[in-house]
This record gives sequence, structure tokens and C-alpha cells, in this order.
Amino acid sequence: MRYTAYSIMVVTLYAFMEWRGVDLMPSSTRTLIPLSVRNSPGGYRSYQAYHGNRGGK
Amino acid sequence: MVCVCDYCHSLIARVGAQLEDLGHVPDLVAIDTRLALGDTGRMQKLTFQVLGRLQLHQGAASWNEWYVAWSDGSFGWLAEAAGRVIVSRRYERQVDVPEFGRLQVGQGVVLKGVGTLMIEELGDARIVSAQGELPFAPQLEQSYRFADGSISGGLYATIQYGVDEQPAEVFVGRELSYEAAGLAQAGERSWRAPQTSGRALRCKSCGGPMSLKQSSSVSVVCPHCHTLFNQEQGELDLIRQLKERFQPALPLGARGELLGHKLEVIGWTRRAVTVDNVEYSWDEYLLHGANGYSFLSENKGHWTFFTLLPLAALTSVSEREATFQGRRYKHFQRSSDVRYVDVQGEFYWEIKPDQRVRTDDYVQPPYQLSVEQTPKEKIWTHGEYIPADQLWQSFGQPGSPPPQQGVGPCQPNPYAKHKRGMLMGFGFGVALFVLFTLALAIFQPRRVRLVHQVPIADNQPVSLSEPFELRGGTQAVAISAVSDFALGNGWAALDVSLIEEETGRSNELDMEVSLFSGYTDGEAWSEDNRFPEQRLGAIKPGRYVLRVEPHYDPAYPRPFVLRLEVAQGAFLWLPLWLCILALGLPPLVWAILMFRFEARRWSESDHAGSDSDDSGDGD
Repeated sequence: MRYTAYSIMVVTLYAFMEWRGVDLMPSSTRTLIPLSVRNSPGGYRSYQAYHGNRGGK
Repeated sequence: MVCVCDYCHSLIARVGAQLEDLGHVPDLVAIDTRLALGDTGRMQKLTFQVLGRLQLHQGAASWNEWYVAWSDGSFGWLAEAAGRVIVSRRYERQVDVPEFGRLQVGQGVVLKGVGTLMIEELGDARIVSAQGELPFAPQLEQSYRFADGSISGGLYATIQYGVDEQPAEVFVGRELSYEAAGLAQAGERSWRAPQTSGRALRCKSCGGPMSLKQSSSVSVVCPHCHTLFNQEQGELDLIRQLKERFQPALPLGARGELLGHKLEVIGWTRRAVTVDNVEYSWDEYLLHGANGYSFLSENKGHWTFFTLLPLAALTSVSEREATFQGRRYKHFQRSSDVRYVDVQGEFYWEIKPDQRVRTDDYVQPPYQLSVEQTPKEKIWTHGEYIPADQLWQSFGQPGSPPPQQGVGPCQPNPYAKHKRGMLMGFGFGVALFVLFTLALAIFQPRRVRLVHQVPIADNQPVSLSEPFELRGGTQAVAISAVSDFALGNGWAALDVSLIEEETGRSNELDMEVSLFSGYTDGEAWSEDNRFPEQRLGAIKPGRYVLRVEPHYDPAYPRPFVLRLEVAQGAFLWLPLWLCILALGLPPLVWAILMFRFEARRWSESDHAGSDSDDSGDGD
């Protein structure tokens, strides 16, 4: 009975991790890019976007 | 019809209207009994009354055969021996029984209409005394040969070989308790006849006092000088001065209760067998209680309680297994030339110190079948494992029982009781696992949210996707790349960032796309990673952009394009493997422990190293 309860717990945990996409060994790193950096030239804006929005005619 | 006079013990026969004195009958032998002349019983619709008795002796034991008259006008016999009551009648059909000399213990003799009689004992007996009315004039002290055995269905039979060329007679009966035989009066008497209880004797060797707990005991050992005697009617016949003297773990006279039976230890033997110059010994106790005799075996601290079993009660017996009451017992061990090392107390059979017997043990924990065989006798017993602490407590013994070594032949596997729980838990877990996995595939399938072309060109150091939406709940995301490297061998490394526009949270990872192939020593080879995929866990819904910064082989012709896909509902393998591991680990550990226990059990058997499957006592 204890093992049955344990099995239910294990499989429920597995289902939750799959459902929410919990990655126990992430291969990525997470950073926060400030808004100022994102909107500045050389931020995550593309090269074309940067050149296309440099202003002037 | 003859009758023994109660007063003068004369044997009187009625011949026509006259009475004829056939001589004097010796005094009755003191044999424990719960019956007396005049007792009545009932079996099914018939009643019977005890009219007389013969007392027989076969050298190893004495017993009563009570002559009974049935209410349908027929007659029969009721035998008491070692606490067993067998009610029998003469088998009236013609039987071609083999000659006595051709019979062997264990042989089957077909009795038409009844079954196959399995011979368990061959012997000869003599009538030593008589009482009351009898159907024939007993020929005192004259020996006759008999073959005793059992028939399936709880029947017993005796082939009685006549003297002086008289034809053999067959008696078929059934073993019953006194209560089942309707012998109501029997229960009112003490099991021990009052005149024989605690009978005092004096040792012929040392002169020390001895007392018999059972007047019918055949062998008795002096507690002072350790001399073995045969006893008959209080007369001791010196057999031998025993040499080695050990101390039984459970003392003689100890009283306790096992499996509902109140018992007293009245005898103890140490037995041994020598294999490859190594002596293996164990202890056997003779117990006595209201249901007669039983046995207790102690081997390396493991205790088993045995009771006698008729051979015919076994469904099948072979070298490898025996079947009893639907249970299959696997052969465990055969011991040849088993001998007595020490004997103490008293016994209902004749102890022959030089006798060698063969024993076979079959086990189905916590039960055990054992058979002890001599050329003239085959005795089956059925045993049940008794935990040492329970036995010690039951017999009120101080301290601790002898320490246990190894695993007992029929010791229950402590892990086997978890078998059902393990199977149920594992089955339930696997079913739930399959159900959840299918539900995930149905309700959270993989959905591609972005397809982004990444130009690989000198003037394109960074590529940004158009903003795209990740919808639904928090899920894993898969980012995969594809390139056909149509222009030949090459590689590209990608620094990929999935950036949430609103918060600036960025998930960064590396990917490499490559294709290498060629010929070496005339053989084609290739190494490629053309479809790499990386998974990002727990990505919240929102608006995202994909930033890709490629690095590439400067020698590779440019420009070319890599295609990246972002998909929600990616399946993560790690939780799956962890789930399988977590589900399977307890049964795996349980199975290893259980099989290790069984391996230790069977390492002591004749079949060490062979397959021994499970212990069979799972719940």
C-alpha cells in the first residue's frame, strides 16, 4: 500500500514536471536584459533595425 | 466368540451351550488410553459400542485395538496408537495382496473400490493381552506380520498376514479425533491413565530414580547415568551406556503451547550426518499433548513444529518435489546415514543407537515436509516454522533462544510478504504513467510558434526574429535548427537567446550545426549534427523574440541560411527517466533482497546454485 501511494506520488510529480516543463538540468542560462540595453544600439535589436532606425535622412 | 473374565482373567469360549476355558490371559499392559469397555461412539448414522480389546506389541511400541460392535450388526476395530484413533472394518472384497516378503515401504497396493494403499510400515506384532469380548480366541505371544499404510482421502489400511497359511485379511479405516468418532466419554478421562502417570522406576545401572511421563514409552534414558533402556510394563532392559551428553536448549519437562496445542517436552535427541568428513547436527524434541505426539526440530537456531502425516495425504512425491494440500514443496535436502549423537528423556519408539536412517526434506516456506525412511518404515511429517522468540516465550524459557545462523530451510522470506504490494504498486504506477503520458500528448501537443530564417553572411553578425506569442501555460520550449549544408562540409555555432519582450528575461543557449563527410582509405564516412535541438524548461507565456548570433567556418561559402523553429509543448526526457527509475527502484531493491534471502536458503540445500524461484509465502 505504501509503495502504491509512493507510485502515485512519483507519477503525479512526473506528470506535473512534464506539464509545466520543469527542466531539472537546464542547458540554458537565464539573464535579465535591462530595458535600456534592449532599446540601445547593440542591444538585442537587429543590425538592420539598428541601422534602419539611426535617424536622419 | 470369546470373552476374558474380568475377575480371573480366564479366556472363555462358548461352544454350543457350553463354556470352555481356553486358558489364562496375562494382566493388561499399562498403555495410555482414553477408552474403556462399554464406551459408545457414533459415525454418521451408525453407533458403536466397545466390547473388548487386544493389546499388541511390535517390539517398538504397544497399542490397544478395541473391538467394537456397530448398530447395523457388524463388527469392527478401533486402534489407538500415539494419540491417533483409527476406526476400521474388515475389507470384505477379494484382494490379491502380494506376499509379505515382496512388499516394500512406499509401494502401492490396489484395493478395488477403495484406492491405492501406500505402504508405510512393515512389521510383525504379537498379542500380549486381551480384555472383554472378542471375535476370536487370541493366540497370545504368537507373532503375525502386517503392512500398514494410508489411502488418499484420509483412509488407513492394514494387511494382516495370517499364520499357518491362513489368508491375509485387509482392514480399512479412517483416522478420527476422539470427538469426531463420537466418543463422548473419552473426553471425560484424563489422557494419562491414572495408574501410569509419573510412574517411578529405578535405574538398573546407577540405581537412581527414574520416572516415566508416558507408561507406553518404549525407550527411556536415565537422567543420572545416561543409560538407554527399553521399557515394557515397568521392566527396564538395559541397551547401552550412552557416551556423549549434551544440554538441550529446551529442557525436558518444559511446557508450552504451539499452534493451539498444549505440549510438554518428554524427549530430546541430537542427530547428525557426516558429509565430506564434516559433521552436521541438529536437535529433535519429542512433545506430548492431548492430541498425542508431535515433534520440534531445531537447526542453527531455527525451529520447526512437526506433526505426523499419512503418506496417502500427499498428492504426489518425486525426487524434486512433493504435493500436499495443493501446495508444491520443493526438494531441499537428502541426508543419508542419519544417526543419533545423544538421546535424553523417553520415546514411544525404540531408539536404536546404531540405526541409520535416510531423510528427505521438502520446503514451501513456512511449511516443510520431511520423510524418514528405513527399510521397514517410512514416516512423513509436516512442519511449520516457529519464530524462535515466539517459541521461547511460549515455553516460558528465560533468556534468549539459541542464536540463529543463516536461513532456515522453511523460514519465511521476510520480503515475500511485500510481493502483492510491490506488484500492485508497480502495476498501478505504470498504468498511471501511461495514462498521464497519453494525456500530455493529447492535451499539450507540440506546437510550432516560430519559424525563423537565419542568414549567415559577413554583414549579418546578429539575427533577430519578429516578435511571436507563446500561449497557454508555462511549458517547455524546444528550439531546433536545420541546415542542409548544400555547399559541402561546414559548421555554424549559434548563440541563441529567447527574450521575453515585456520583462527582458532572456534564456540563452548554444547550438551547433555541422556536416562533415569524406573518404578515407577508400571508405566513405560522415559526421553531422544537422538537426540539433535544445529544450528550455518552464517558459512562461508571453511575447518573445529570438536573437541568434552565428559563428561559422570562415572558409565556408556564404551567404547561406539556417532555419530555426521554436515549438511549445516540448517533451522533457529527464523527468521521464527519473520517473521510471523512481518507480522501478523499490521493486528492484525488493527483488534483490528477496532473491538474496532465497539464495542463502538454498545454498544450504542439495540444490545450491539452481533456480529456486520465489518463496511462495507471499501474501
